[in-house]
Amino acid sequence: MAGNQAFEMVQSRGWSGGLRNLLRADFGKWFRTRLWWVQGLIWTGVINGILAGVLWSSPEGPDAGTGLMLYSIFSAMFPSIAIVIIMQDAIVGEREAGTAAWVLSKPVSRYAFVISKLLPNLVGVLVCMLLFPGVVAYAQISVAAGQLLDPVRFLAAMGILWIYLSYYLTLTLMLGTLFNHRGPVIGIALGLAFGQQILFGLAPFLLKVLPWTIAMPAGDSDNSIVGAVLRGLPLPDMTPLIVTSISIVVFIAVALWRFEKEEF
Amino acid sequence: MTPPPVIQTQGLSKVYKTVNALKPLDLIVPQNSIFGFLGPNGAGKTTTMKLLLGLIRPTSGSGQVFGLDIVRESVEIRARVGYLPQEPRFYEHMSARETLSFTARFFFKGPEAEIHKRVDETLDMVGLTEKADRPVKTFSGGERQRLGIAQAQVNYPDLLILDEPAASLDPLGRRDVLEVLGRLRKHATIFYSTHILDDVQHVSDTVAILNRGELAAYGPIQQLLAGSSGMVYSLTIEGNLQAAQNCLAGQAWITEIKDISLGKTPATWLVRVSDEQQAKDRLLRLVLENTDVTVVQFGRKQYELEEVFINIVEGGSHGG
Repeated sequence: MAGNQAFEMVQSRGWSGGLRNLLRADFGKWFRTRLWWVQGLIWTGVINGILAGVLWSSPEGPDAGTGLMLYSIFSAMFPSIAIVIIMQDAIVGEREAGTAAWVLSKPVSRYAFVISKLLPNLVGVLVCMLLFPGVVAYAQISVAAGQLLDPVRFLAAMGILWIYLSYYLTLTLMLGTLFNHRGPVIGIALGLAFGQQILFGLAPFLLKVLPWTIAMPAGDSDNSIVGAVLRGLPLPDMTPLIVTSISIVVFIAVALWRFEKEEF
Repeated sequence: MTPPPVIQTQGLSKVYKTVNALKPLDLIVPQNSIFGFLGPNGAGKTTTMKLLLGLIRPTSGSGQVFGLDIVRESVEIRARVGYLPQEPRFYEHMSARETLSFTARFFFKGPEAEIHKRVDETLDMVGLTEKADRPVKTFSGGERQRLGIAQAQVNYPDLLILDEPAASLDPLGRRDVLEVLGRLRKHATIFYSTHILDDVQHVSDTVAILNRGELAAYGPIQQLLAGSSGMVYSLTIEGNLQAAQNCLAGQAWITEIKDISLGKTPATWLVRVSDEQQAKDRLLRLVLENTDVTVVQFGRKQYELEEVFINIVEGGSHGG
């Protein structure tokens, strides 16, 4: 190209073509704007606000065990809604706005485009929806318990919660590559997030396949996997966690495969 | 030695379910040419551009840009191309400067100072320097178009693919776009579509006209203008028109005489001939044999591109 001798050219092409620039832009949407601390404040306000209300409204005083169980439930239930809403825009929104076609007219691979929607949002969710409220919840429940909670167990629980939330993140991302409209993407993802208990009644084997029991009790059990980890109790059946982890990989693979075939 | 073509297609086609968006297309775009790609709405121009860029996949046929396959080596092709889509869309939260910087970084890793300098240059080239730091969502249609032209050339592309580059621009903006195209041809090949035929006629070397997904005309623009609708001479005369007509009508090599003067004086006729040599040697002499006829103007009919375009699109005839 004439005139470009002064520049250091981007060399990566193939599957990672454009990835570095896209990651820079999408990480920037989270961390070079106010989004990260606004989201952090929101989730701290919601999760920790409700937790504080429950812990310190009890006439018997704060109960750490209840606090741990509620932390697990609130950290799973509320952010999963937000994740579906954020992620439904990642592919469908860009397709509708025409920006996906614009970006893909540059030396950008389809894989890089999908990965650039995945990684920054995974990190954004981790930081703003888990870490911020998690640190505050650790402090809250430690105060309720009268002693510091086991930090290793707490971190492990947060890691498992991240897997739980990643399920909905990658599911919504995949749905965005399968449908051209937001309706089915949001409907299926949120329907699955909150309709699982109905499904369990119809097909109990789904308890082992869907992620509900990772963070929330179901059926006769009063414990989830995260709850058991937080309270140092014997672990229940880990099959849902394993299947959820595999599902995340499958969702990403399907999203990459499907988007490769997309036409703009 | 002729340099290889920048764009070459062999039977490239696209079918959407039952819609034949592009019938098998064979096209060659020479290096450093300004190639005008014309056609009515829905003719297949944008489809062709998207096929070349890998935004859609061909149903059949093949194509090469810079000798690279448009399906298998699309990312490598796009590293050397600047593209302006019809109705350009950008991230609304970004400013013009950020948009160009984002675009540039798909091509350049550094140095930072050079990237900033190049962004400033392209902003200046399209007259957006004063609005560089405003978010794109505040831009008018014309400003977005200018930004689109800027982002298409920020990477010094070897090939510019421009879909309606003068759309949404006022006459001054159109003039600026034509000037930019003229300057860029030294360094790049320009493949663009437009509805503004006057611009094509003044700027382009080669023209292709698509109609209903099919290539209806293709070739150097002068050839297209001269060769359309056969050999036709324009004759403006006054005096004894009937005598002149009688004289010409008897000639076997004159196939049609058409009066286009609409009753005005002097009369203008279009004389279609089947033998150009006979026409050159004898047509004017025949008319001048009539002493009561005065020839005001005579010459080979020079078609405006608009006439050629309308003839092809409405008449279905092929030119070039």
